[in-house]
Amino acid sequence: MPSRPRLALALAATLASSAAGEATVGGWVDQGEARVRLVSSLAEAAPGAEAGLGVEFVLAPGWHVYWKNAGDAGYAPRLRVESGLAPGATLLFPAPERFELPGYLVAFGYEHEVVYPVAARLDPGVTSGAAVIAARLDYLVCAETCIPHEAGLELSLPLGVERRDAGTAPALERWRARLPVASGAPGAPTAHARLVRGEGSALALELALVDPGRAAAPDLFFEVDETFALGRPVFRAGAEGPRFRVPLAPLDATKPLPERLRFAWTATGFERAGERAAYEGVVELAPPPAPRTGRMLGLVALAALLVTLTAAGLARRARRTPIANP
Amino acid sequence: MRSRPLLRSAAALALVLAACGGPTLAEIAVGQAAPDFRLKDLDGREVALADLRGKVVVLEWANPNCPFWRGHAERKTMVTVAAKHPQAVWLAIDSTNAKHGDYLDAAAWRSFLGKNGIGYAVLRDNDGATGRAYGARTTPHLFVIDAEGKVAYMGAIDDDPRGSPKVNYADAALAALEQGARPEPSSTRPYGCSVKY
Repeated sequence: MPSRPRLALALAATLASSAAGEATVGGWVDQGEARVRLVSSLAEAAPGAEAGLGVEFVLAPGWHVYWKNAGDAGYAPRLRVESGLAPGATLLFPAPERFELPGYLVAFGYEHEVVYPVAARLDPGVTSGAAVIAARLDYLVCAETCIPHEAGLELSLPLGVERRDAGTAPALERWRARLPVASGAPGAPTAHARLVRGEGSALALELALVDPGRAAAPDLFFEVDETFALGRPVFRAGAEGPRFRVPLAPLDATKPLPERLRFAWTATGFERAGERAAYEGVVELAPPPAPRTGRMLGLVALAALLVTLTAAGLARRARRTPIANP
Repeated sequence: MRSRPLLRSAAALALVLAACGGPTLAEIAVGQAAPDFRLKDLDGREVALADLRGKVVVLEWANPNCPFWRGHAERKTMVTVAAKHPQAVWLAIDSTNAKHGDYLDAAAWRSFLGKNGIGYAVLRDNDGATGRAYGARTTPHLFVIDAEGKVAYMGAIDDDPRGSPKVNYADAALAALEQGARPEPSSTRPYGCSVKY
């Protein structure tokens, strides 16, 4: 029975840490490929105030969970609060990574570990003791294959005067720092976007960032778009400043483009003052004019003329060629 | 020295290949001609899209080892919709690479179909050429092709990857075509497992 003393020790350690108020964590829900729990960066929170909450995942090697746009397959986790929080709790998405899958498919998400910060205030109706937060999380975890899971999560957060939890806060703060900063916010780069026509009049979005920092591993992600299939972004750090170009393929060739095109973007992989930096924003653009039809018509007319002349020439030659009738 | 231009072009080719990252997926659009194919079913009979002109055709990317597709198969999602629209030709396409763990041979496929009461044909595309021509991403991923051979709907089977759908998009698209209307939505984001190319 060598495991018993160890278990007792572990229990004692858990009790000690919770007594010291230095581990505002819920129990792990272990689902094999992933284990998940609620955490708070606060040892004590004020009633009705910000809960300092996050959903922490630890993933088995090779498995990943998803960003808000999952990429070609998969879906983002969904949190449904049952008690302890005021309505409107929102799961937030740190800067994602891009995973290349066989067959030129891509997935956007996180591997190894991730904490999704949650923007949430405590239920103002609970004013003493502890706020017992209960929520259901349904999520998809994928490696070569994908497994949907649902987990019941719980966390007890003592109420009092707001106080940081030195045990949990560093990890939560690290993941909050990975949330993209809104473009145009103080100190954040501004973004300029335009639509361009590339080869074969194919449409592309060009997004330029003004002073985004060092481009360590620049990448660009978008929320799901209903008008276009968005291709892989290509990054250039040219004289005109760093910019991404993204091919746009209309999903429905029978419909005219909407009067306003809206793209919600997230740019990742920059570095400022030695820290990782990611930015996000929304650009709205009018669709560009259709390919220059005047010139196109001219080309078509020229081609038609050439075809006519060639056909006439061939016909003349054919008339001169003796025809061997059987 | 003479090999330099060759080296340069080899390097350029390598760069191009690296940029492409292997064979790319096509992006097809609603309203465009559906890419033609000629594939064999589980019994080795050839099915060509061109031979089905004049009929509405549903293509459904399938993989019984994918929990999403298998869930729909077991809940009879596809067979129920197919039965509601008997004049449409419903075809499953298997683009699973033969080296992938999810690959099923014809006998395993037949056994799965029999157990789940699926009567429509499964076409073998295990080199993935047809899947890539359509830009098939997930199992399931659906393409509804109108009688003129044009793509009328592409995307998800329904509106909920978590299994409590309110709208079955394939059903809605087939109903619209039967009434001489264009499906709306005409494209949605497909969900499921990635196709195992």
